[in-house]
Amino acid sequence: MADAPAVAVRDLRVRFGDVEAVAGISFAVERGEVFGLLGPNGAGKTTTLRMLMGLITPTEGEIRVFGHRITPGAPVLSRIGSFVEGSGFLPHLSGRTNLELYWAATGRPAEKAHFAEALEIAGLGDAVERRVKNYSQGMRQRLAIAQAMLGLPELMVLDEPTNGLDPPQIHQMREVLQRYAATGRTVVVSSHLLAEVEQTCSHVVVMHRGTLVASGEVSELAAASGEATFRVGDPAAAAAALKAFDGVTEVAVEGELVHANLDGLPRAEAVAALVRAGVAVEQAGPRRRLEDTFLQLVGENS
Amino acid sequence: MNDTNSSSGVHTDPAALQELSDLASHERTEVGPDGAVAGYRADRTLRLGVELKRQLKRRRTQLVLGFVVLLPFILVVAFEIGQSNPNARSGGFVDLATASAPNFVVLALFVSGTFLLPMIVALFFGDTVASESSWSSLKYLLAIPVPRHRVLRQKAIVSGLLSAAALVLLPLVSLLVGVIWYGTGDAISPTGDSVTFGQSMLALVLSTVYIVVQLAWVAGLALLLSVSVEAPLGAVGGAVLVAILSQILDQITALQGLRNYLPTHYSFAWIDLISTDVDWSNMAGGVLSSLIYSTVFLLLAGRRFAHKDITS
Repeated sequence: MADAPAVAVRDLRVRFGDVEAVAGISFAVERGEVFGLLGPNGAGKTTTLRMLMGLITPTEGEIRVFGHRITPGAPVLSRIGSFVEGSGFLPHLSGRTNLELYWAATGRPAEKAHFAEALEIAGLGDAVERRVKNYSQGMRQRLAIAQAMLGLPELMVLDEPTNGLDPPQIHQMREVLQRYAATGRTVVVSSHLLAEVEQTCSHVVVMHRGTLVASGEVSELAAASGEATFRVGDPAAAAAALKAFDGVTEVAVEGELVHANLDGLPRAEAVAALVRAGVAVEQAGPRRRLEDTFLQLVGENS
Repeated sequence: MNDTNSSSGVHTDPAALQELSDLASHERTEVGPDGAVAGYRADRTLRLGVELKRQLKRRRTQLVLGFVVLLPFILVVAFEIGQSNPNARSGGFVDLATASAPNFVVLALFVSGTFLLPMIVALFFGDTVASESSWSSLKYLLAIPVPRHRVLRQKAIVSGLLSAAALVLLPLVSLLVGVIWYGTGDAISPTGDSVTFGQSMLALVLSTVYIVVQLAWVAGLALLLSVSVEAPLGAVGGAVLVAILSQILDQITALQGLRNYLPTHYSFAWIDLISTDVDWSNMAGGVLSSLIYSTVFLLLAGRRFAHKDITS
């Protein structure tokens, strides 16, 4: 089990009444990754994370964390630090007391908590001594992430960690997560924002209506190598001109866009060829598959 | 460089991030054969002391315990303001309240038995899980992980301790107040029995124990509601409503023998103890009825909580 993936999800399915919130998904998260779960609201991300924490029992399939199957109260959950769907603090107590009582409830030695370091990451200053009920959403969020970090868990699961943070804080959060993963630990984050995942994560799965629609390395998905997209005046003529090249494959027209796998042919040369063929080229760039996929989903939903 | 977001005062110092990542790089995580991190043991999670601390820091706990201490003083003041006849040898418990300290304790238990005492028990048991749901802290307790049966057990024990504390404080403070104001005379029952002060102490201890046991049905019901609803008010109010309904039905004499099955039917059976010749049959019925009700409710609560999807 020493080399089991941090998270292995297999044929996971959950039904609430007639609604299938998660409809058979499988993916694996390797150790040291910042892994993104991307999808529009209602895609089933939070439900998946709740199953990962043993809060919801799947109808079918299973989740293994470091090789151990997740069930309600499974001991392996002690290696996960989590922040899922909002913070959970006792409102009448200060931020510091909340974290101390939370750690006391784990029954683990106090010196393993590393309160000081976690609280510094939250960066709440003197506010840690104030009652949580007077905190802003952003402050609660940061305290919750500090709570998830107590004990430096090997796997940190964060649901929409940047909601309610302002842009500089979001920037810091990204760095915190990447640095944390760089220590060999694993971070799983969910988000409904493509840019967020692109900038934070190394790997991603895209969820939509309970199913996985794309998965892989972010860099690969974001700009699939060799694939290019051209915005042109006459897509049909452009497609014909591109097909004329040896080695160019997967030519596809989508509205006024033409996608193609150039396979080593420099994009500049392809543009020159299109222009020679009398096609007006408005834009040329790498094909952004992740964005394509994601925008389709979000467009469909909104 | 610290140019980020100084206006809100909430930011992570880059040095802190460096510290964390140094610390995390050096600290190796030890793991046990069951997959748990070293130092984690299910039977060490949410210890009673920790849960007690979490509950004692709550205003509602402090208010309830404070109120049962205050109530005897309020009663004394009421009797001082009103016209009382301290040498009365007849009448109901209210008329006899100022006859002696034990009579004053009996009065305090008598007037709070209908509503206050069931409500206190309903509050401690009904609120305990539902309030964690409403704060969203339940999921983090379960993700520690505190095993579900253990969450319920530890919370039930602490609620029981707090309820018992309130149920003992009320007669205890009443006794102190009673001794100061009304002296250590005999306990007089409405039927004219006279019990010596010494013997009445034993009767009052047994009465308190009986009341604690008799209210176990409220505890069970409130806990069942607590794991079933996410609003604390629903759980506490629901249990109190059932207690009130049961008392209302108990007034309907046409129900005859069926009333014996109402959980509140034997609420005041402890009054039989204030007598020279104690009849135990009603108290035995009360203990049996309460234990059956509470066992059923507790088992249902445990079963419901063990399989519940936690979505709050």
